[in-house]
Amino acid sequence: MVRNWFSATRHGKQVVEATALRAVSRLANRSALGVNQARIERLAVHAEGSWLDAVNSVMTEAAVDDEPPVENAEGTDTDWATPIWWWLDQMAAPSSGLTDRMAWFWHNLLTTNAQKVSTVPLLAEQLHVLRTLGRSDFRSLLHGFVATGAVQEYLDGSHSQASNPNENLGRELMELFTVGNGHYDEFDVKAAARALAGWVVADGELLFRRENAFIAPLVFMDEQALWDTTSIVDRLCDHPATPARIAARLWTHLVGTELAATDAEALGSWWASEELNIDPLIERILLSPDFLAPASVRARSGVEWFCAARAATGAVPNASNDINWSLWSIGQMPYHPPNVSGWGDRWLEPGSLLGRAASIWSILDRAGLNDQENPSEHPIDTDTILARCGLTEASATTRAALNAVKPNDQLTEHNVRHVRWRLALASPEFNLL
Amino acid sequence: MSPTGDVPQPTTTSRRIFLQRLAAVGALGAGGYAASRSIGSSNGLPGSLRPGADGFRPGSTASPAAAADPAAAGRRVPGAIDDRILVIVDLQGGNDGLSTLVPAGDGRYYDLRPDLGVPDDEVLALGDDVGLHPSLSRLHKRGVTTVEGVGPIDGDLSHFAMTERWQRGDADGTNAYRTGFFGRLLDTIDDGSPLVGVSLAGTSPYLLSEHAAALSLDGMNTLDTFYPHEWGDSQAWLAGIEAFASAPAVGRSDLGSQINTAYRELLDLGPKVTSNDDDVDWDDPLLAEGGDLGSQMYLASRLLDADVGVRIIYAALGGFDTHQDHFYTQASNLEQVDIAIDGFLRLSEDAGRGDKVVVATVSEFGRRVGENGSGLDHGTASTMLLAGPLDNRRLGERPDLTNLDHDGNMAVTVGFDRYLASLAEEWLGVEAASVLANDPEPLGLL
Repeated sequence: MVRNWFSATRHGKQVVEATALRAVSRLANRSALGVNQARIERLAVHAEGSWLDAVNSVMTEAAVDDEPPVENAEGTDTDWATPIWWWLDQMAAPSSGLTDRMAWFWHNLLTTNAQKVSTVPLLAEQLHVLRTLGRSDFRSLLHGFVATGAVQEYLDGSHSQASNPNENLGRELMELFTVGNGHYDEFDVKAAARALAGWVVADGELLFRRENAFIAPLVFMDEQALWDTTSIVDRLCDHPATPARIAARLWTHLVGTELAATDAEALGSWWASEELNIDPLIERILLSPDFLAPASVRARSGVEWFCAARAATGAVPNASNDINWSLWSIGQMPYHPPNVSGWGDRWLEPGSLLGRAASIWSILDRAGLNDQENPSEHPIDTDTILARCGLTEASATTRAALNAVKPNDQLTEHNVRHVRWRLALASPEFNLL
Repeated sequence: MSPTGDVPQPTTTSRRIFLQRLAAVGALGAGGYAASRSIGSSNGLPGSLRPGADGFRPGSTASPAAAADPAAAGRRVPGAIDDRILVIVDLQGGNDGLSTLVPAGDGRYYDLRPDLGVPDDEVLALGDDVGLHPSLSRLHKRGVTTVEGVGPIDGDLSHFAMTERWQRGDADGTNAYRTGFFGRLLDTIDDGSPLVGVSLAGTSPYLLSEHAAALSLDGMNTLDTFYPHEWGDSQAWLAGIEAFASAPAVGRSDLGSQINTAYRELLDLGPKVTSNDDDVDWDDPLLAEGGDLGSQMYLASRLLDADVGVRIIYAALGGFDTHQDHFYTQASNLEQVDIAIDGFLRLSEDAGRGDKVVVATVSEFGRRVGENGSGLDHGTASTMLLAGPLDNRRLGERPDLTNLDHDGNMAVTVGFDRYLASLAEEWLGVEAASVLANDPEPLGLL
């Protein structure tokens, strides 16, 4: 089946076969959070050269490394929403590409809850680390992350003293951030707690107080040494379980499926030989045949759905950011994970879809689609709406569901446009990635 | 035209055909390159692949994400009754136990609370020396179980940290559960019903389960989206959702059918519980006087009327963090609690399920014994309330007001895990030791 999803007048020669478009659309969607038709069209042009060209164009998109703001419009720096709202604007912008796709991936792994962070600058600092180091190498990223006051507060590293150390940070560092269960024991937890002690957040700054640290040889992971925060992080990055676990996690994020243990080990050992550089790992995954397999699909998480919806409708950027509050009902407010292991992957349950359906109204309002007095510039025909939403592969059912909405004595043209857009954002395809 | 998304299982054959189709159009050069290799071979990582110049190729066929681990669920008590319902009312901010159940016979209480103590001639007596806050008159009349001295073990005074402990059922802060306490109960009593747990106060980590179906609703209007209004474009929208609920699963079949099911349940549920139903009695005290908590409890009642299998409901009221203006704020908050719990139980009795429903409060901690001016700072132990078909005992142990810690706080006499153990084992029939660490002893509610 040949189907021209793009306007023939604007892109005359881009008559691309539908399955090829699926590949391009998938690449556009998974290399960014805010996807729109323009991004897909641009990648399609590259894909005409080769798939490698398309992947390369994604890999070489300019990084966005502006610092997150800490002061809101009133000049107050005590509102946690200030850097988070700014981040949501970045994520929903199709131009941010892999920078924010990766920062978002890392935030789900290297979690922090704003409710336990004392100041907004500390939160912004950590976000900046995730965005600027998210495509460096994992070792640098983890060093940077552990050195943020935000995670030190979140996991009780701040004020932990070697005489009676708090085990929280050390435990999660191993269980969640690096090697995972089965690769350390309680002895390592106690040793790590001592070695990591000495940090304190005071007046909004992370300081190291040598008098609170443990300055003597310790046995950690069967090795006696003068362990400290740096060497503990290094040792955990050197452990073969770490690259296997983190690479498998990125695989699932980008491909949608889970790697078998032996494949995870193989990918991890290759990644270790690449010195944990993140970009080569991303590229290798994007170039995998599995990336394009029809069944390589997963659910869009709440933030992924929200950012895609904002980008598709054009509900970006905005001044008052009120639509971001709907992330509470969507169930995924950034920097408010339900626990330290992040949000999990159950995104297609009634509660999730209900939260999304309820928030569509405010998204469409922001995009100007609720205003009956001023006819919207948004398209009304099904094909164009679906293309705007990046749904180049919409099923016959979805297409028919939108087409079934027609003007009649109850439905004005405004109603038809509105319902079709709502259905596009609620469609099964838009809830998947 | 066949739907393009309903690709069957991820077989090697379908992948090969797909990639060959890609190659055939010539649009994707590297796709053709990939297709020319033996996709699905078990050779893992061919050494000839230049890093970064080619993609990783797993040895085994890609598999759907792992299913939830059923082992995370607890065990039923032999012979447990299967239709009991638990409604949690979370008094957020740290409810002051000493003005909930007032130690009116303890002079030390009035020494430490010269301005904020509840006058002994106003308390609603539950015994010679204690009584309920005068705002709790309905519960006093109805009968209530109290549990004194409940709190985290060796806790701190952080709302966030102590709330998180309660949510995961981790009284001493040493157990990194990844599920919520009530989520584990849901997983244990899950009978596959479309809806087993509901939060009426937005997403709550309390209900984080492995597999049981839980729903978060923000107030009464959320489900209106799925209610078939007579006016406007509602019918057109619902017809589309109906199409999605019945559609062949798109994308990966397991995910597609999850979406089908979710929409089907919402379409079923909307008309049963939405507020736009003529059945809603706006004059009911829950809606007329009960404020936010009252609406939540009214919706709770409607959800139970809908009879879809709900066993645990979570509701919440904020505003208990009374650092200032404690006296009047507390009186107003407790009156909301009184109206909401009493009104909900009345509706339950009217519906013939009065013997099946217990309402129990939780709160992250209590408040400081001594005053800070017009308010009370964060404390430790608090008093929990339960109402329903229980024996209306006074449980727990009142902390000694002459033995306060260096912050001026009471000693916790009942780790909150014992309280949760009672809700699990004695009411819902879930063995406490299977969902809580350290085998906490239930308190004896029945």
